[in-house]
Amino acid sequence: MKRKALTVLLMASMLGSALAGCGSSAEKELTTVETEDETAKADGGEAALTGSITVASNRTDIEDKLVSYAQKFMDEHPGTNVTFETIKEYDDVVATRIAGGEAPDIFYVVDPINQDTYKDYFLPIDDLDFTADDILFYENGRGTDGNLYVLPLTVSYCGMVYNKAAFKEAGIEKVPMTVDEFYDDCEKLKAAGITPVGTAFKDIWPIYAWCGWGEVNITAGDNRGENKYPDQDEIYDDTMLASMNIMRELYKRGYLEDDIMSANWDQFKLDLSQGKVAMHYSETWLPSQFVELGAKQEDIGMFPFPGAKNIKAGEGKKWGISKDTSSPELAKAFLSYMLENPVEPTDIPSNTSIEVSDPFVAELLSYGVEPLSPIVGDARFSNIKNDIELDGQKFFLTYVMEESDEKAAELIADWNKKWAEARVNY
Amino acid sequence: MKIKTKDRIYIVCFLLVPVTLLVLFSYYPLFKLIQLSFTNWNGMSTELKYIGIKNYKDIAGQKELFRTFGNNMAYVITAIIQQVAGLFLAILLNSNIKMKTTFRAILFMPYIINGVAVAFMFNYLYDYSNSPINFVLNLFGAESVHFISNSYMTNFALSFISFWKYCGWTMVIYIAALQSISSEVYEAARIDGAGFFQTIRYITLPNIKTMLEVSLLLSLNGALQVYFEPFLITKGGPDGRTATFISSSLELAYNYSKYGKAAAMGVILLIIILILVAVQNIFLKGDDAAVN
Repeated sequence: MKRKALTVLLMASMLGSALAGCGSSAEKELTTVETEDETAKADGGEAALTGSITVASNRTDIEDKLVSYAQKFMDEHPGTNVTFETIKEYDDVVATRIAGGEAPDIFYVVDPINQDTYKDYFLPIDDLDFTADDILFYENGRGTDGNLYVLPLTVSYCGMVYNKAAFKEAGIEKVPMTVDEFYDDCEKLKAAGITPVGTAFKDIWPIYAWCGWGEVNITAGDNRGENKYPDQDEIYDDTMLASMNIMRELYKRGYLEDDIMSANWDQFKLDLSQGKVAMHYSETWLPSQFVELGAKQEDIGMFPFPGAKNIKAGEGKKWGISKDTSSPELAKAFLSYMLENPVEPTDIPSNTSIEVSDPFVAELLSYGVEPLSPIVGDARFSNIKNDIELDGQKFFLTYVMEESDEKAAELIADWNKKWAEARVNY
Repeated sequence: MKIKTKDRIYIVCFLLVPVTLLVLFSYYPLFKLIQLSFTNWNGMSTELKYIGIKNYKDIAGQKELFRTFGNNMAYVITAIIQQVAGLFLAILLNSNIKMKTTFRAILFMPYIINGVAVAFMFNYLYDYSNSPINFVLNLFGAESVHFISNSYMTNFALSFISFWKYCGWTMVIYIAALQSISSEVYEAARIDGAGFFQTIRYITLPNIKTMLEVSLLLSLNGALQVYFEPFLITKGGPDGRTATFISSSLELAYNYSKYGKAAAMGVILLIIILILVAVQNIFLKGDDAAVN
C-alpha cells in the first residue's frame, strides 16, 4: 500500500514537472519599469495615453540608460507602461518573434523585411507630426504602396577613422586626400612600426564600407547606390572594383594586420585606440567607442575616404510600429518621443532640429567633401542578391586574399554571370 | 485481469512524459523539416508556399554544396583517430595504475564544458598574434603557426576542437565496455603466457567489437553533422574552404532567408546518415552470420 502511494506520488510529480516546464518557457526576461500607479490618468490632457508597449532594442550595452529613458517618458505620461527589451541576436530573435505572431510593439527593420513588405509588419505612421524637412531620409521610410512605415532615429557618415597620435609618430602632417597620398602615408606608418589600416577581417562585417554597394557608389558620387544594379548585368562593375582593389593592394603591400584571418574586432578596437593601428574605414558611430576604450578625444579623428567625390550619409536603423500593437497611440507617441530625444548623446539624430555637437562629424565635414544620401532603396537589389546567394562581405575577403589576379578576375566574372542570369526574373 | 489493467495504466503514465517529449521535440520538428523543405519559406512569413521539389533540384545543381563534404572528411579522419586515442586511454586507465579515477575525471572534463565556450577558447588559442601556443613556440625559437589560414589544414585545426572535447567521452564508453569483460578471461590468457599486445588483439578487441562499431558510427554521424566550429570561428570562410554541409545550410537560412532550401539540405543529410546506418547494419549482420 505504501509503495503504491509512493508510485502515484512519483508519477504526479513527474507530470507536474513536465507541465511546469511548459509554463515557464513562455516567460521572458524583461527589464521592466512600471509606473507606480498604472491606472492613473494625466490631468487635463485631451486624450490621455494609456496602455503598455514593448520596445525591442539591440543595445544590450546601455540597458540601464534605456530603463531610465523609458522611465522619463512614463513620468511625463502617467498611466503608460513602456518596456525596453534588449536583445543580443536582434535580427534572428525579432524575425522569429514576428513569425510566431509576437512582434514587439516598436522594432526596427530586420531581414527580410523591405519596402514591398513593410505593410505586412508595420503600421502606417504618416500621421506623426514630422515632415521630410524635419527628419533626414524621411521619404526612404515609405513602402511600395506609398504609405510611411518606418523612420530612422539616427544618421551616420562614412569616413576614415584615424588615430592622430599614430599619424604624428609617423611624421604625417595632413590627412591623405588622394589614393596615392594614402599609399604614401601607409608606407610611412608601416616604417614607423604601426599597422596602417585595421580591418578586423576575421569578424567579416567591419569591412562593410569597402564593399557595400551603397557605400562605394555614393562615395564615388553616384547617389543611385545599389539601385543601379538590378538594371545592369554587372554586380561588380568598375566602381565596385576600384574600391575593392584598393584593399587588395593594401593587403599585397602588407599594410593590413599581420594575419588578417585572425584580426578580430575587439583586438582591433584596442589597437586603434592605443595607436598601434592607424586607420579604419567605417562610420561616425564608431569613433566615440575608441574614446571609451581610453583614447584621448583629441587623438581620434575622421577624414573622407581618399579620393572620395562624396561622403556617404546613411540612415541608421529604421524603426516602425508593429501592425498588431495593442496600443497604437502610445506607440506613436513614444516613437515621436524617441525622434525628439536622442537616447545617447553620441548619436547623430535624424531629426534636423536637434543640433549636432559631435566633434568627429565636424572634422569629417570640414575637408570640403559634400555629403550625399542614397535615393530610396530598391527591393529588387537584395532579392536578387539573396537569390544568387551572394554575401558581399564574405566574397570580399575571398577576393582580397586571392593571390592570383587572373583567378580574382574569374571570381568576379562568375558572380557577374550569376547576377546577369538571375536579374531578368525580377 | 484487474492487475493487468492497473499495470497498463502505470505503463501509460510512465511512458506519457518521455513519449510526449519525444514527439514534441523530435518527431514534430522532423515532420516540420520535411514539410518546409517543399516550401520557399523565408523564415518570417506566416503562410507557406509550396514549390514542389525545386529546393532539392537547386541543391543537386549546386556542386559547391556537396564539395563541403570534402571539408567534413577532415572531421571524419579526426573522428577515427579519436576512436584510437579513446580506446588507448581506456585500456590505459582500466589497468591498475595510480590515480586512475583522477585521470579519468580530467580527461572527461572537456566534454562537460559548454561547446560555445570551448569554441571561444580555441578561437583565442588559434589567434595568430596573441595565441599562447605561438607564444610558447616562439620561446623555443620556432615560427608562429597560422592555425586559421586559407589552406585545407584549417579544417583539421577546427576538427581538433571536437577531438579535444569528445575524446574523454569516447574513453568512458570504452571503459564501460572493457569493464564488462570478465577478468577470468584475462587471467587465463596470462597463465597461457599472452603478452600485452596479444591480450588486446585476441581478447579486448573482439569483446568490445560491438561497442567499437557503435562508437564509430556515433562519431562519424557527428563528423557529418558538425557545424559549431566553422560557424563560430571561421564562418565557413575564406571562400567556403572550412564550410561544412550543415554550416552551409545554416548560412542559407540565416544569411539568405532560404529556410526551405536549408530544410531540404537537412533532409538530404538525414537520408545520407540513414544510408550510413543501413550499410553498417548490413556489415554487422554479415559478421554475425559468419560467427554463427
